Amino acid sequence: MNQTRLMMGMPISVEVVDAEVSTSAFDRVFDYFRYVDETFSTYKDSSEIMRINRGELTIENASADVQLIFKLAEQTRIETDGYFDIVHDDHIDPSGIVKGWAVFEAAELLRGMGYHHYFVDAGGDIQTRGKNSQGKDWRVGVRNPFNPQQIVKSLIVPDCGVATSGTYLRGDHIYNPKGDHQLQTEVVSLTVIGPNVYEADRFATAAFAMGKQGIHFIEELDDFEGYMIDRNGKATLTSGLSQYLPSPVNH
Amino acid sequence: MSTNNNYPPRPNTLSRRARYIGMTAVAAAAIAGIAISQNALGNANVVTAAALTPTKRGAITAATATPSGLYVDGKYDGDVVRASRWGNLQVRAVIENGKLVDVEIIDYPHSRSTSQRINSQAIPWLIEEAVQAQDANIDIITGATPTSEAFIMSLEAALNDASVSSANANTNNSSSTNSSGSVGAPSL
Repeated sequence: MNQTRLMMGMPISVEVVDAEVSTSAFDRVFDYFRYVDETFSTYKDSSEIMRINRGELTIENASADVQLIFKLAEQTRIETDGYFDIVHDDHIDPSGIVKGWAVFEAAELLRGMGYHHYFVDAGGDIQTRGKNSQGKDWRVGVRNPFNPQQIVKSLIVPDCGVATSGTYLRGDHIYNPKGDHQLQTEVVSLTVIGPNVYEADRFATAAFAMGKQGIHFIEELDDFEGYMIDRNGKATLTSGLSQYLPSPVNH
Repeated sequence: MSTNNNYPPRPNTLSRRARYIGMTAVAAAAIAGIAISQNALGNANVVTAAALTPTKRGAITAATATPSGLYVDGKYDGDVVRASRWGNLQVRAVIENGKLVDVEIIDYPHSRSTSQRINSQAIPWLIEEAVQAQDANIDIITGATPTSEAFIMSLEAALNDASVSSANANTNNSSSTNSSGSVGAPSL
């Protein structure tokens, strides 16, 4: 069973393959995303993040999840040599870490409900578990940043987290959909595969901000692989990405 | 969920990272403006409605969320919505035969000069290849998408103007200066 809803400014898709899945399971997952949106949105005036930005709420008095995100963001900032930072112009925008975290927690919800075969996908940040409806490993396609209708790489990702950080090209301008880091122009798409989507997302965000150096950052991370596309349409793969590529006979 | 420093619990993510920081030579370089080669632009000038459908299994697309005949043909500009710190975003919805057929971005975040660290050290074991379209059998899609909260909000406002009920009150269905709010916008 598959459901997609447009929330948090992006399509969020959930598919559960297990035969006994109920619609209430989907409701719980989407309720969770609604809660995340209402808590962390930088567009909803009533969110805790907006209240913090207006000086109406201190981090110490924020909810446990908000405090957790601040802690994780600070940890990530240190781990990425400052490339990941949720503070911009004295304003807090944690969207670069909240999405992957929320997808991971949503997948944990499904696990807690006893399901084994599912994925959760929020705007291309993906957590997979188990097998797809054909009993095979989940397959993720990397979108061509120059032509959204095309797939340029097929990845076999069992029990993985996948996230892409990228720019969206418009005329001779570049728009960063995440808006969460300094604009760089060399790299237009960086896909990261890791053990879970939370870590894939935060490292994709940070590595993308590093420009062409980002793929080297991913190369040096244990258990993470990357696929980078530069502005000239050239792709760079980390040395271990081949483990996620279809073998020639299956392709 | 855990609140310790190892979220989610797993060992030694960064064991090789410390070595990496030590060996990386970084230099600061200013980027003067934004330059994108023409061949990189591809077909990305216009966001098509189909681009709002990142997963082939997705039940919701801009098109399916728009029942036939709900809208009056024409072009409708959405609200200008602040898109994070990069500036404003505004979209134009194109309605043909009562359906949303295209979404164009008519205002977009403006670039600003920035600086970027570059790495002068090439690491030889990375693999390079030209990107090319694949005829792939896939379950899910990942990639940079034009969707964002600002995008959706502006589109909602445009579709609100395009709706039949709105057109009854305003016969100018090709307004290009609309700045009305999005109250009552169709749920996407």
